[in-house]
Amino acid sequence: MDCRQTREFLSALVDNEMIDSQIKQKVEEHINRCATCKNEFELEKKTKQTIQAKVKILPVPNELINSVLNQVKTLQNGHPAYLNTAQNLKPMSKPWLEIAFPLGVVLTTLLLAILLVSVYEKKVNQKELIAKEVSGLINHFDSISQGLSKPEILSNDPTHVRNEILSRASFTPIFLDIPEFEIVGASIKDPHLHSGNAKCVNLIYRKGEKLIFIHQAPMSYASMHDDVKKRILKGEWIYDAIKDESFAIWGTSDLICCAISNLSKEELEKILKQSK
Amino acid sequence: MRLKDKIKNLLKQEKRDKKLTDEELLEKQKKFEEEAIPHMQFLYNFAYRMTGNEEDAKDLVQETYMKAFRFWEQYEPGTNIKAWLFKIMKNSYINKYRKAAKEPGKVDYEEVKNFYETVRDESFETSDLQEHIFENIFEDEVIEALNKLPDEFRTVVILADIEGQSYEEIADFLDIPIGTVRSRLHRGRKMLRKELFEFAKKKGYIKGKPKDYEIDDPEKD
Ligand SMILES: [Zn+2]
Ligand SMILES: [Zn+2]
Repeated sequence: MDCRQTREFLSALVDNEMIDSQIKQKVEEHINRCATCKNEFELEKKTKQTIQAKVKILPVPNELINSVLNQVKTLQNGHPAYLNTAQNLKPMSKPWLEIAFPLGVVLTTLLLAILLVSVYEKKVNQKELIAKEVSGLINHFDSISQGLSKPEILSNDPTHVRNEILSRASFTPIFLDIPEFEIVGASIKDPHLHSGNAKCVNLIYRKGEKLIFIHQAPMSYASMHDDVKKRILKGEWIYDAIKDESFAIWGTSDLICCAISNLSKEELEKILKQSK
Repeated sequence: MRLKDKIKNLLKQEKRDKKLTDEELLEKQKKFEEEAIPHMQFLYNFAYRMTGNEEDAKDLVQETYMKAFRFWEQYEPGTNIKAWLFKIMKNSYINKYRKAAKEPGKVDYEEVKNFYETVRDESFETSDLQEHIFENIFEDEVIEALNKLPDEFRTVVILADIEGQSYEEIADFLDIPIGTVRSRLHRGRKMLRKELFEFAKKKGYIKGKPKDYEIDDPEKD
């Protein structure tokens, strides 16, 4: 057996995969007398070990399992025959939502979220503006408002939420006072940045069935269109960034903030103006 | 997102479908959850390594499961469900991420060949250099190196070395002979090693080009 033929079986030898015993013997014989192939074999083994040692198996995020199961149920429930059998309709399990919101709200929010999401997507495509950031954020809003993922911090006591955030966040966020809205929770999960230590803060404000997420991150981590950045740095609050009813973006020299909500554009703008 | 529109479309289609009884529907859901859900970790990890980020990986896995549920009748009980799910996901991946110019599902052999040409015959690491290549390599660098491989090679390396699948399974997943699994894996690992060599060089552990370390070995590999 020559070197070329030998090389075709090196991986199998590295992985201890079954090959014909005669072939295996010939490959091993060759390796024992050919220094180059032996080196190649050792290096391949080492490469495999390096990959195995450095790249670990990741656990499946809980919200992925939940959302797949829920989607299956949604598909199933959408079937007309199935819809008629009330005894089979189990409520979705989202214990955190039941703490914070009455059940009726959940359903409304779900519908609103679906509507909002498709609107957003169109606008984002049109403008290709802060696309990645915004879609990650909307995913996050979406999964929280549907009860598919749970914010890390959840409480009826706004002071508790504040203190928790202050102790966990890597920067000091702004706590807007939004008239009639209360902070019911927050998450520090970063929905759109994949590297670095930047942690975004999402404050969740609620009034009845109205939800406003205030998303904040250090300005230096935010990637956005230069024009938008200039306007923000001038102190402008931008309500037309993605020409949507319920998205606003503004900031300071340190922080970038966005609001996402299930309110109309006019209502969000009015409320945020009162909140400054 | 896109997913939501897809749900809506699927719902419409589902309604047009032949009517199943409630028991049949529940049975379908139960079977699906029992058989398909346990493979989520395998699928998620593959998706994560192919797309390089959590959001896209989640999207891909969700889409895969929705399609699988939708086409559940086409799955033959007792056959390899893992391979079936994998193929659904691979198609979704190709549809989403393939370069516009390429044909779906087709390897750009020119590109692969060129890449391979640059790697072949370069036994650039002598034994005493190998330690320098592998020491101080970080996870990020292995991942970056992996991302530089053409999809066909990256796929087998991920399946074999990260996900620990057997050659037989990989052959099933990709509909290729075991011999092809063997050679792709060998070449994939070699390409990866070349990339790791570049990192080592950048960090100053090794000087020069791979060919400076070349052993005269024209016939080989
Ligand atoms: Zn040899
Ligand atoms: Zn952020």
